[in-house]
Amino acid sequence: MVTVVVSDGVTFTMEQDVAFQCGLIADFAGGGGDQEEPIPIQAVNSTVMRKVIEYCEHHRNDPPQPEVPEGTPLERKDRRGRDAWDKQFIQVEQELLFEIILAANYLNIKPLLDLGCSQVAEMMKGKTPAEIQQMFNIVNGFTADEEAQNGEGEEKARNLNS
Amino acid sequence: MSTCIQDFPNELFLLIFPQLPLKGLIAAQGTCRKWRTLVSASFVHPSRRRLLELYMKCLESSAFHHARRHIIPHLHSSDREQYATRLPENTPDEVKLWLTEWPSKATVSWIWPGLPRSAPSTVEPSLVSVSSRGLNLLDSNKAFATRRFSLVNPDADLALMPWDTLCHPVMFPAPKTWSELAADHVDVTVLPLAQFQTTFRYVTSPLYLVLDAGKGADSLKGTLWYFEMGDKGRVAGDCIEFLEEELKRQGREMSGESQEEPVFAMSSCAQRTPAVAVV
Repeated sequence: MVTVVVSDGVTFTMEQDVAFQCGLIADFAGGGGDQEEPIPIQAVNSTVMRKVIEYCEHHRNDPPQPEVPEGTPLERKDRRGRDAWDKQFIQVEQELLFEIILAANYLNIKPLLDLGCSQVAEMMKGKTPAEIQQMFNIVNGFTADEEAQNGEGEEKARNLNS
Repeated sequence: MSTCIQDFPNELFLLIFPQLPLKGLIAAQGTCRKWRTLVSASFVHPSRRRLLELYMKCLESSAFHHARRHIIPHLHSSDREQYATRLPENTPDEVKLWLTEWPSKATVSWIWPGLPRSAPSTVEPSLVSVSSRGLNLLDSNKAFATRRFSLVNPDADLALMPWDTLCHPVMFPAPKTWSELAADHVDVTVLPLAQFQTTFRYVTSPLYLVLDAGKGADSLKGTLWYFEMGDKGRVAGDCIEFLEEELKRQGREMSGESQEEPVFAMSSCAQRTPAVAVV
């Protein structure tokens, strides 16, 4: 068993095959047996950790991911075979989604990171720059000059990009 | 404090952006300054990257903006995904990407699935593509008709001579590897994209995409050919290069510099002759 303690002080105990899907925990715990001290995970809170563990438990019996060469295939979105469970799992509030992605990145869980990132890409599809800014609450940060240029460009993009 | 996407470290954006289709990338780089930089730093499919760059060139071209006003009213919606499933299996990636992801309203030439087979006479010919004087074969709802040529090699120094179904010889230069090839002929499979009137006679001649070429002529694969043109038959190395050339040609025609050799060496004829639809 592996025990971790997260930022809000909650401890989680899980079996090794669940825990070791997190590269960080596997590295931390090394090859050895049961850990006595809980592993501190300061960057993740208990709400997010619960989701992460749910993911890892569901995928505990998955065969190891085959190495996919970066880039070339056109249908990247299909390459990991997001199943119905994954799709359902990642349908969460935007803020929780972002926290799951950050946690997956920190804990080094590649398939969960990919799932989260492809969900963000999915949310962006078919939207204009203005709609994306609104959805993600983004201030565009262009200077006044750039804004003027961009306004023109953006207007064009809106008209053309369909 | 709530978590915002802008809190993401840059490397996460580099995982997200490569999953976007062309239109998503266009939108992302217009979202904010940081994203613009990150889109350009992302590893996107090389053909998608080239299409994105072509799109940016389009936005800067006044000839393009002028031409598209003439094209847009004739666009009709078409199911692109469904369309793509009917493309021959060996269609190059950049052609599939162009047909499925390029914004319709940014159509560079008249060669486009969402446009009628021939351009109406009201469309200003010099501003649309040269293909406005011909036929847009991508319009057809029928299955894509590929054709096979057997290229014979009468003399390794000369040209390959495919014989089309009308049995008149058309020539294009031998690929470099030809001289190393012992065989006296090689088969190529082509996909006609459009048909043009030629400078020389009142027949239309097709613009072909070479889908497949036999051993020794592999270098032809993916290139665009205008077979009637003798040794000038090679139009472009691939369809994105073709679109780039078309964009440049529109710019030249609009600024009145059309004296220089046009891509298809045919606009002098086309300007005299009204568009005719030859089936």
